[in-house]
Amino acid sequence: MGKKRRKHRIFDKIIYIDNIPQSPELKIITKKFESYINLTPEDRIIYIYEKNLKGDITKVVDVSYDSFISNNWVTIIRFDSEHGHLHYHKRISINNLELFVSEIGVIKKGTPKKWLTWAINNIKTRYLDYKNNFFA
Amino acid sequence: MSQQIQFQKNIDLSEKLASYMTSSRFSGNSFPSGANYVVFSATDKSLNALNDEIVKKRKHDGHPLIKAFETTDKKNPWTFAPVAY
Repeated sequence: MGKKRRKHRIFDKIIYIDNIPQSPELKIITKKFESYINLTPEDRIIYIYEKNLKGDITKVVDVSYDSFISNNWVTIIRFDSEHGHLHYHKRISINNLELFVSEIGVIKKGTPKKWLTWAINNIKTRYLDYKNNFFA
Repeated sequence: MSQQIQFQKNIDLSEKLASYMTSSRFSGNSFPSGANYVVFSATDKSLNALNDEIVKKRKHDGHPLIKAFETTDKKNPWTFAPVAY
């Protein structure tokens, strides 16, 4: 009788390369990139994304807009696609630093690269609103 | 130039930088993850003068700081100069 094949705990399918069983996640190798880009002395944007070996963006891990307040960087709004779709986490106000999560008004379709572009444009056009609402 | 204009111009530049960084032309292996970047335009001197002030303020934050210069060379659209590493 042949050797019993071990099933991967998480995935149903087993991928074989050269007759050697592989974990499916090994085929999807991504590299994480983190960039903190200063926009003004008190504002910055953070990009964290993952790329596969081809160079395609596979996940928008984080696009954040931070403001420098009382010697600390405070994230005002953060977009991510951690659960397979773009959504945002936004701080309620300077007096209530809790984050609320929403998908309202967020792009639903497209690729992670398109989501990254969309999130950047959103911050570009609305950052003053976000900042004013945060300090309100 | 108002801070709002500086913000919008810099975010446009940061998007170009991010686009370059996500392309296969950029390896970025020598730059630490989580590095801070300050972008400089190929053409806008007044913006660059303001961004020099950002470098002066952020230089001593204790995090790696890299100047990213936009170029007119299509093959190498960005060059980099570490300020604090």
